Amino acid sequence: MSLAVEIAEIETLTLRVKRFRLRSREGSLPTYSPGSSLRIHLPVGGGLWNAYSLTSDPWNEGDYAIAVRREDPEHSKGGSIYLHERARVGDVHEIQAPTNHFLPARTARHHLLLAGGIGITPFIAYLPSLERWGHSFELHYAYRDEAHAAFLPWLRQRWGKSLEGYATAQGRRLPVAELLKRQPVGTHVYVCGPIRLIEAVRAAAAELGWPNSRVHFEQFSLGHEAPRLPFTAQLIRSQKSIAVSAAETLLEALERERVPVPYSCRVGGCGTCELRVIRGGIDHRDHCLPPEDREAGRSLISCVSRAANGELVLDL
Amino acid sequence: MGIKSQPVYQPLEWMPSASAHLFVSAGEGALAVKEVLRELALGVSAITVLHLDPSGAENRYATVLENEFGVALSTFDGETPLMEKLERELASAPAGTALYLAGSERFIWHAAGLARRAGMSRHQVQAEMRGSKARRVYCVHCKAINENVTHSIHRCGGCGTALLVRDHYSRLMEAYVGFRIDAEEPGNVPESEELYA
Repeated sequence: MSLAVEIAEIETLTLRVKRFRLRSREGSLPTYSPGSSLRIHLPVGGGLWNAYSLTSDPWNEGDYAIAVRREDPEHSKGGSIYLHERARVGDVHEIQAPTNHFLPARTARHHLLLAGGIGITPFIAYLPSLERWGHSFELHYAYRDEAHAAFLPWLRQRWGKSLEGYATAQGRRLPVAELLKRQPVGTHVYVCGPIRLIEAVRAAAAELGWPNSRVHFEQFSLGHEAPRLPFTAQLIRSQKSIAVSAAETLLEALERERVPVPYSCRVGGCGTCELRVIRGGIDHRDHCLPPEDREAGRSLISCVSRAANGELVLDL
Repeated sequence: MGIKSQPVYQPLEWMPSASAHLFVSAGEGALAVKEVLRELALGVSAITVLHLDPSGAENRYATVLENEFGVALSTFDGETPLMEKLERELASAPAGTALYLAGSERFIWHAAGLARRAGMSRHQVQAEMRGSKARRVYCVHCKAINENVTHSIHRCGGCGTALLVRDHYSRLMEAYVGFRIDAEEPGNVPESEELYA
C-alpha cells in the first residue's frame, strides 16, 4: 500500500546517522509490529525505493521513525546521502506501508539480540515490546566507537542492565560463538548488521546444532557480490523474452518491462519476490530459500538470483 | 491414512550437529537408545540418558544401557521423578541440544510436552515408539482421559459413551480424540475391534 508522509523532524544522532520522524498528512498511519521496515521513495536518479527499519515504539507512537546511516558514495545509489544532505522538514515522500520479516518470537524463552553498527535499528523497536511482553532478553551491540554508536545513550539509560557494547576501534569484538554457546534451550537469536556478522552468527548456530527456526536475521545490503553476467528470461505465461543486463537484477528488468512482481526487501532476505523456474540453472544469491528448495531448482529469488547458464524459463 | 495430526515415528538417528544429546527412554525404549549408542565412536561426549523401568515391570531394560562409556545414565522406577529430572535437565541444557525419546506413545508425548514448554523446536526432538501401541484417548464429551486403550469402539471410563477412537492426535491433550459413535442412531454401536495391541 502506498501513502504519502511528511518529514516532521530530523535529528542528528551521530556523525553519520540521522533520525527522521515521518507523519501522515491526513489521518493516521497503518499500525506495525516490532522489526518492521518501510520503503520510502527518494528523488535520486530515476527514483529510488530504499528500505529502513522502523525505530519507533509500535505501541506508543503514531508516527514512524527511521534512522538512516549515510553511506559512502562508492557503496550507495545515493539514497542515504540525499536524506542526509537534501531532505528538509516538511518534505513529502511516498512510502510503502511497513512489512515485517524480522518479528520477535512470542514463544521464545529468551531473546539474544546481536547488532552491528546501524543494525541496531530494528532492536530499538524490539526493546519496548519485549519489556511489555515480560520476556527475558540481552542486547549485544558492536560499533566503531561511541561517537558512531546510534542510540547508545538512550540504550544505556533505559536498558543498561541488558546491554553489552563492543567498541571495535578499541579492538573489542562481538564474541558470537561464546554468546551462542551459553544460551539455554528455548533461546532465539536475532542478528542485524553487516553480512559478515550475519554469516558468523548463522555459522556458529549451525555448528552448535541450533534449529534454523531459532535463528533470525535481517540484512540491509547485498555485501560483496560475485560478478553479474547478462542472461535472458523467457516468460512462459506472458510470452515475453527479456534481456537482463549485467547492470540490473532480474526483478529490475521485469519492472522495466512492466511485469509486476511483488517484492519487499530487495536484498534476498525475505522471499517475497520468489518466482517459479521451469527450466534453466539458477545462480542462487539469496539468504532465504531453504536448502531443499535451492537444490530442487524450481524457485528463484528474483531481486538477487540470476541464471547460471545464460537462460531461465519462468512460470510468469 | 491421511490424518495430518497422527504422529509418525522413526528409528532414532544420531544428530551429529547437536552440542548436547539427551536421551529419554522407558522400558523397551532402552533398546532403541542402545541402537544409537552402539553406532558411536568412542569419545563422543555430552550424552545423558534418563531411563524408566516402572516398579513392578517384568523386565528391567536399564541393564542394556549400563557400562556405556562416556554416557551419564540415570535410572528411575517412576515416571514422575523421571519427568521432574527431565525438566531440570532442559532448564540447563544448551540451545543446540538434541532430544531423543523412546518408549510408549504416552510416555513420548509426556516428555515432548515438557520439551515444547521449555522452548525446544520440534526439529530438535525425535521419537521412536517401542512397546505397546495402546492409545491414550480423550473423550470429547466428558473430557475424561482413558489410558491403555487397545480397542475401538471403547466405552469411555468417564461417561460410558461408546467412543470411536480416531487417528486424530492432540499434542496439547497428549491423547487421541474419541467421540460418540452412535450419536446419529442411538444404540447402533458397531462391534469393538482390537486395533492398538
